[in-house]
Amino acid sequence: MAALLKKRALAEYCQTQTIVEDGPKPAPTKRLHLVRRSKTVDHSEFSTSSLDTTDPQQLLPALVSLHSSLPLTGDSQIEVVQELMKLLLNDTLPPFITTKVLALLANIITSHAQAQPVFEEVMRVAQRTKSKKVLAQVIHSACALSQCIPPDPKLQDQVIQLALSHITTTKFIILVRSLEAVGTLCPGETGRVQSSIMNTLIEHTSHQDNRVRTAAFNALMVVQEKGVKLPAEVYDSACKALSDDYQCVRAAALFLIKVAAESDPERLVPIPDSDLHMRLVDHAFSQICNVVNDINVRVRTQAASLLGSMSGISEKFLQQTLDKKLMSNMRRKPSAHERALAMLSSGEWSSGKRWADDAPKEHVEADSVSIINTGSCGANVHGLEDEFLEVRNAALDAICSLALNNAQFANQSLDFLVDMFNDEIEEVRLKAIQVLQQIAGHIILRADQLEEILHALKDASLDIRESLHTFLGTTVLSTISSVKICVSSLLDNLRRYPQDRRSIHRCLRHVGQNHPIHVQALVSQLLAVHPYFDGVEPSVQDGEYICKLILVLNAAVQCPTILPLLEQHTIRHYAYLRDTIPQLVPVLKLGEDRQPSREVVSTNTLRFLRESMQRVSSMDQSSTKMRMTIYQTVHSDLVKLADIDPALSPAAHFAALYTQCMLLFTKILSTRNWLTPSSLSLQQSGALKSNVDQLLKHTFRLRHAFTNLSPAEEASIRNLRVRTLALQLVYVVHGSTGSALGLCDNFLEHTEALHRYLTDEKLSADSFLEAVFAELSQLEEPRPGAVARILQPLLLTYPVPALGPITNPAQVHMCSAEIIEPQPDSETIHKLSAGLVVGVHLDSEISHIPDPSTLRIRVAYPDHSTHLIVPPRNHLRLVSPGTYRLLTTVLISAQVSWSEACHVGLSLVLDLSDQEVLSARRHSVAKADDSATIIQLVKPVKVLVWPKSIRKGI
Amino acid sequence: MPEIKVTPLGAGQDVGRSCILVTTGGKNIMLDCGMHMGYNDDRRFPDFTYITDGPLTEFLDCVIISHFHLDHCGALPYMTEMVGYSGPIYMTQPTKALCPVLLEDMRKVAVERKGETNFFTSSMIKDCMKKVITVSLHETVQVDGDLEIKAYYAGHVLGAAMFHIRVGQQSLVYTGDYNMTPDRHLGAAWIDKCRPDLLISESTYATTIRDSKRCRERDFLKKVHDCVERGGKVLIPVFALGRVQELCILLDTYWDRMNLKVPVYFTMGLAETANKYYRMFITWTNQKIRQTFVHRNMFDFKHIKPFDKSYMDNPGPMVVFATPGMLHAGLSLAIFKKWAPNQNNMVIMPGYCVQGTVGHKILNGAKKIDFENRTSVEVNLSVEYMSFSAHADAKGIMQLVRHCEPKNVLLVHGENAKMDFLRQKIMQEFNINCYKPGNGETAHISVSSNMEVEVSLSLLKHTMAASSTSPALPPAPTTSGKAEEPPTKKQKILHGVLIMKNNSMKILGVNEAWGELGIVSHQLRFTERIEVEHIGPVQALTSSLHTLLSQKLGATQVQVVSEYQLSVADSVVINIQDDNDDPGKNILLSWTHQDEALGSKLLEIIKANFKK
Repeated sequence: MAALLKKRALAEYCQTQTIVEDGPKPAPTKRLHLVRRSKTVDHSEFSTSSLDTTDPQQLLPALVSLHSSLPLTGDSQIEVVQELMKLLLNDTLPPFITTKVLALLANIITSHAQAQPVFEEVMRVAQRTKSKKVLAQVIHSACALSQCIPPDPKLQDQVIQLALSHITTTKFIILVRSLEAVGTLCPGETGRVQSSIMNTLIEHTSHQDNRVRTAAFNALMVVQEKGVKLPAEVYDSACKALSDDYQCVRAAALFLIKVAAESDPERLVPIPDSDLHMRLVDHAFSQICNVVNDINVRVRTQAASLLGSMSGISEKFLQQTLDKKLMSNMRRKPSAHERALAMLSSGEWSSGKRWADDAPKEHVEADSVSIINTGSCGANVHGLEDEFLEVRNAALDAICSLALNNAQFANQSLDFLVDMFNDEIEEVRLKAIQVLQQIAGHIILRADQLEEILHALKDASLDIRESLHTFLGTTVLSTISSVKICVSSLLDNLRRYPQDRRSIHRCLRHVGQNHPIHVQALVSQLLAVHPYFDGVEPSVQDGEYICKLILVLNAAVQCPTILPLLEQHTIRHYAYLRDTIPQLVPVLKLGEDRQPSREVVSTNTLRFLRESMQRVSSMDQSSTKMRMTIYQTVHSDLVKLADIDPALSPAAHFAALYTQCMLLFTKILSTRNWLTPSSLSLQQSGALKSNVDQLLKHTFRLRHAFTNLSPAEEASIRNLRVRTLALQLVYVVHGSTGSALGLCDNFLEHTEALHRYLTDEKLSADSFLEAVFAELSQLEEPRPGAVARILQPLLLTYPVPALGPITNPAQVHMCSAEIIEPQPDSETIHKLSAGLVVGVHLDSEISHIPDPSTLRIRVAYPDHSTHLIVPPRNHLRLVSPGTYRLLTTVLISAQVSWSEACHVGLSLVLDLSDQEVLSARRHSVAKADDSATIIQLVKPVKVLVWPKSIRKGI
Repeated sequence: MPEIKVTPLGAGQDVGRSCILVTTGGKNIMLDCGMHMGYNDDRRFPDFTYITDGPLTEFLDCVIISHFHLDHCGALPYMTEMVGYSGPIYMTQPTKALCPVLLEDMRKVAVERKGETNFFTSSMIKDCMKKVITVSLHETVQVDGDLEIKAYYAGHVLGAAMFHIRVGQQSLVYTGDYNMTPDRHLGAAWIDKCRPDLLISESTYATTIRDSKRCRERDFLKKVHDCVERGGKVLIPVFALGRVQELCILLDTYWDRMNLKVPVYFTMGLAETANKYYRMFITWTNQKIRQTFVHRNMFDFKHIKPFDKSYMDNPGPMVVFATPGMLHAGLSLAIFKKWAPNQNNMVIMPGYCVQGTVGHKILNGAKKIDFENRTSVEVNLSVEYMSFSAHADAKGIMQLVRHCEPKNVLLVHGENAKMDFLRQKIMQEFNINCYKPGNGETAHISVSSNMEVEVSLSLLKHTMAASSTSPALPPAPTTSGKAEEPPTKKQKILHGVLIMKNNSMKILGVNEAWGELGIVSHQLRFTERIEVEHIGPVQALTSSLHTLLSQKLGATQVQVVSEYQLSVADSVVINIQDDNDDPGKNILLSWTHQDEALGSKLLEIIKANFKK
C-alpha cells in the first residue's frame, strides 16, 4: 500500500514537473529592479569628484549631500560651481538633475562677480529646456542670482522679462515662480516696468488656480514691503479673497489686508448699501475680525494674532471685539460679567440662590438683532472661546497688545481674561495671567474680579501661582477690603503650599509698597493690635506673621503714620528681620526713643576691603611666619566681610581665596625638604600633599567661578594658576615615580595661553612669568624633567605677587547657588523599592554661572559614591540676567535595601571636566576623585532616603 | 425641475422623536428614528404607516442615525424588528456602541418598572444592531450606485455626527444635534464648504445667544469648592450619559489642579459602562483629551471613585454624582433625603427638571417636601441650578450655515415660534430659502439640475490658450488702465461638438468628434470667380493683391503659396488665372463653410478694388 502511495506521489511529482517544463513560460515582462543604495551618504564629507559622473542615479545623492554640506568655503566653492556648470551644459541629463543643479547654484553663489557668468548660462537653459519644472527653477534661480550683492539692475531686468514672457503659461509652477520673481525684483520707483508688474500681479489674484492666487498675493506683499503703493483695487480683491475656498489664499490675503491697511490707514472706503464711509484701517480690522470665525484653524490663528498687531483702530471697533449680545428666547439677557457688575454696584451680596437670576429681561425686536457677525463684533470673544488652544493663545496675545495701548479696552477685557483662568489647558491659563500682568498698569480690579483671580492661587501649578504673585505685586487694588482679601488669600496660599514662601514674601513686599494707605487701615487687624489690651507676642518663626510684617513694614516706608501704631515687640522684630532678610525689609526712619539698639552705622566696607588687600601687598619683606599670620587674618577678615556686605561679597570672596592661595604657597615652599617628600615624615608628607591639592582646587575655583573681572585681575589669576601648575609639576617630578608628561603638557598649554592672553590684552607679565617665558623659549625639547629643573629655582626666587587692587569690586560676579527646596532640616523620608527610582523635587536659584550647560546636580550617597546628573535644559529658566532657576526632579536610586533611612546629599556643581582641565585630569594626582574638575556651588542638602526591599508576590 | 422632498415624521416644529424622510433623486432616506419621551402611547414612535402599512424595506434605501440620544434612535428596534426593515442602517462607531446600552436601559424602565407589554425585547435590540453599518468621520460610504454619505464631526455627545448625503447631482446635509462651541470633553462641530442643495439643521436654541461657557463652569466649580471647604456635602443628580461625563472631567481636573483631597463619588452601573466606551473612543473627544491621553486617559478619573450606599452616612465633605437627574426616584433621591436638612450641604441641578419631580419643586424654592409615605423633609441645603447644554445657539447655527453655504435651509428639532425668528434671519442674511415643515407636512425644495457634460481636455486647453494670448506679453506701453476686464475673468466661447452617447454627454473638438463617431468629414466650399481687368503678368497681380490684403488683414494672415496662389489664414485660397480670351484675369476665391465671414469679407475687398 505504502509503496503504491509512494509511486503515485512520485508520479504526481513527475507530472507536475513536466507541466512546469511544458507550460508556456510567460515572458519576463518586468524584472524586479533592485536599486542598490550607493553607500550611505555622509553629509559632512562631500567631495567634488562625486559630481564627475553622468549617471543620474549616482548624481542625485551626490547633489543632495552637497546641499547638506552647504555653505562652502573659498576654493571648494569655485570648484563646485565649475562642476555644476558642466552638469548644466549637459543636455542629456534628466530634468530633475538639472533642476537640482539650478537650485544648488542659486544657493551657493552669493557674490555678484560669480553670478554674472552663471546667470547667462542659466538664461540659456531657459531657451533650451522643454521641461516645465526646469523652466520654473530657472526663473527661481535667476531671480536669486540677480539679487547677489551688489544687485545688478540689468540682470534683474532680464529676469523680469523672462518671467513676464512666461506669464501666459498654463503650468502653475512656472506661473508661481514667475510671480514670485517679479514680486521680489519689482523696482521701487514708479515706471513702466513697475506698472506692468503690478498689473500682472493684480490680474493673477483672480487666477483659476489657488496656488497662483496665493503666489500673487504673496508677491504683492513683497512689493508692498519695498514701499510701492498698492492701488485700491488690490485691497478690494484681497477682501474678496477672504471668502476663497482655499485656506492658503485666505491666509495670504489676510496678511495683505493688514499690510495694505497699515500703509494707508486714513483712506476712506465706502460702506456697502449706504453713503457712509469708514477709515481703511477700521475696515481692514473688521475684515480680519470676521476671519476669526474661519473654518480653518490655521487661518483663525493667523487672524487672531493679526488683530493684535494692528494699531490706530477706532475706539468703537476695538470695543466691539469684546461685545457679544446675549439673548434667550428673544429676550435680551445680561451676561455673567454684567450681572456681576450689577450686583456689585447695587451693593447686594449673592444670596447663594441664583436660580433664575440670569433670567432674561427685556424683549428684543427681531429685526434689531443681528446674529451673524458684522464688523468686529465679538471677534476676541470668539477667539477666546475657540476650540483650539493655538487660537486661544493668539487671541490672548492680541488682547494683550491691544490693551497695552488702550486703557479702556484693558478694563473691558479684564473679565474675559479672568475667565481664561479657568481654561482647561495650563498653557492658556498661564498666558492669561501673564497678559493680565502686562496690562496691570492700566487696570484697577474690582473686588469681585479680584476674588475670581485669587481663586487661582489654589492652583497646584507652581508657575501659575508664581505668575499670579508677580501680577498681584504690580497691580493696583482699589479698596481696603480688596487688599484684605488679597492678603488673606496669600496667607492661605502659604498654608497650602509652603514652598511658595519666597515668592509670597516678594509679592507682599510690593503690595505693601503699592498700597501704603490701605495697609495702614489694616494694621491693627493684621497684627492683632488692641487699643488697651496687650496681645501675646507672636513668634518670629511664624511664617504668616513674617508675611504680615513684610507687608506692614514696606507700607510704612511711604506712610510713616503706621509706625506709631506698631507695638514695641514689633519694632524689635523689625530689627530682627532687617538682619535676616534685609532685601525684603526696608530701612525705616524710627524716632529717637524707638530706635533699635543696634544702630545701622554706615560701614565703609569698601575701604576695609582695600585696606586688607593693602596689608597683604605691603609686606613683601616680612618674615615667612609673619606673612603667614597676616594672610591668615586677612583671609578670615575677608570671609567675614563677604557675609556682612552682600554687594561686596563676590569681590571679598575673590580676594579671600587669593589670599588663601598665597598662604598655601608660602606654606608649601617653606616646608623643609618639600622637594624630597621621601625624606619627610608620614604626617608631613600627607599635609604637603593635601596642601598641593587644596591649592589646585582653589586656583581652579578662582579661575572659573568668578566672572566680570578686569583683564588685569584675570591675568593675575591665570598667573597664579600657571604658578600652581608649575609647583605641581615640580612636586610630582621630584616626589613620585610616575610619568609627569601630561602635567608638563598641561602646564605648557596654560603658559602659552596666558602668554597669548597677555599679548592680546597688552599687559605686561610679572617677573616670574618673564623668567619662565625666557627660559622656556631656550629649551629645545620640553621634557618634564627639564622643565621642572627650570621652574624649581624660579618658584623660590619670585614670591607670589599680591593681588592688585580690584578695580570695580561691586561688579565682580561669583557663581553661586541656593537650594530652596528640599529644605535642609526636612524630616520627610523618601521611601522607594530598591532598584527603582524616587524623584525628589529640587528648586534652586543659580546666579552668574558662565555656561549653564556645565551645571550638574551632584548626588552623594552614603556609600561615598557620587553621581553627576545633567539637568534637562528646559528645567532651567532664566529669571533675570545672569540668574537661573532650576526646577527639576532629581532621581535617586539604590540597588540594595538599606536598614534605615540615610542622608543623601544633593548639591549643585559646575562640571568643567570637558574644558581645559581634560589633560590635567588624565594625569591628575587624584585620579579617582572628580573634585579636581568640579566647582561646588552650594553646600549639599541632606535628604532622607530609604530604599526597601521589593515585596514579594505582587 | 427636480426637487428634494422632505417630510418630518417627528421633530417638525417640535423637539423630540426625530424622524425625517427625505426623497431625492429617486432615493428615500430616513434620517434618525427617535422616540418621544413625553408620551407612553402610540405617539411615542413615529408613524411609520405614513410610508406604508407593512415592511418598509422596499420603500427605504437607508436609515441614518446621527447620535445615540433616545429621541434620535429610540424607535429603531421597533422599526426594524416590529414594523420590519432589513435595509442598511448607518451610524458612527461610538453611537453603535452606546445605542444598545441606552435602548436596553429604556426597555428595562418601560417593561420592568412600568410593566408595559408590546415593547421590543433585548434580543430585538441585538438583532437590530446587527443591521448597523458603521461610518468613520470623513469617510465616504457608497450606499448604492448613486447614493453616498459622509459623516462630519458634530460635537454634542460622543459620536454625534452630521451627514452629507449625495444622490447624483443633488446633495443635502443633515446636522442631527450639534454644538458649535467646544466643551470639556468634546470639540466643536465642523463641516467643510460642501455647498449642499439643502441643509437640514436642528434649531433647539433658535432664539438664544449664549454666554461664554467658562463663566458658567467657574461658577459651578467655585460653588462646589466653597461648599466642600466649609465641610458640606454636594449632591449632583445626573443622567448616566452625556453631561455627566463632562461634569466628571470638569471636577476631576479641577480637583487635580487645586490639589483637593475631598472624595468625589460616582454611581456605578450604567454610567460606569458608558465611561468604558468614552475611554475607548478618545479620538472623538476634544484637543486636550486627545493630546494628554498618552500620558493619562482623562476618563480614567483620578479622584472620582465608585459610590457605595454606605458612604451616604460618612462624616465630612464629599461630592456625589447620583442618578437619576430629576430627583424623582432612586439613589439621588435617597441621598437628597439624608442631606437636605443640613444647611451646609448643597444640591446642584445640572439640567432641566420636569414638573412634578422633587427637582422641579426645590428649584422653585420649596422649603419642605412631602413624600408619598407621609414623610416629609426640610430643605435647608442650598439649591443651585447650572445648565450645561450642548446644542448650538442661534449664532452657532448661523455660523454653520455660513460655513457650508447651502442653497436652501430646512429647520427641524425646535419650537415653531422660535423657528420663525431664525428662519427670517437666515433668509435675510444669506438670501436663501428657508423651510420649516411640521410633522407630516412635506416640503418640496426645487433644486436646479445641472447637466454633467464632459469636455475634452485638448479642446479646453486650446480655447484657454487662444483667449489668453492677448495682453501683458512684453511690457509694452499698451495697458490703458482699467479699460477691460482681465482676460482670466471674461467668459469665453467654446466651439465644439456635443455628443450624446451611452447616457453621457461630451463636448469635443470637431476633429475629435469625427474620430469618435467614425464619420468621414465632408468639406463644404464656396467658390467665387471674379474677373478683373489687369494687364501684365500674373505675378504682378499676385503681389499687388498680397500687399492689398496684407494691409487690410495684417501681414501674418496672408501667405504667398506660389506665384499664382495666395492663402489667407490657412483656409481661404485665392487662385489667380490668366484668362486666355480676355485681357483681364480671373481670381478664384474659395473658402470653406466655417470661414464664411472671412470669405465674404475678402470677396468684398477684392470686388471693391479690382472689379471690372
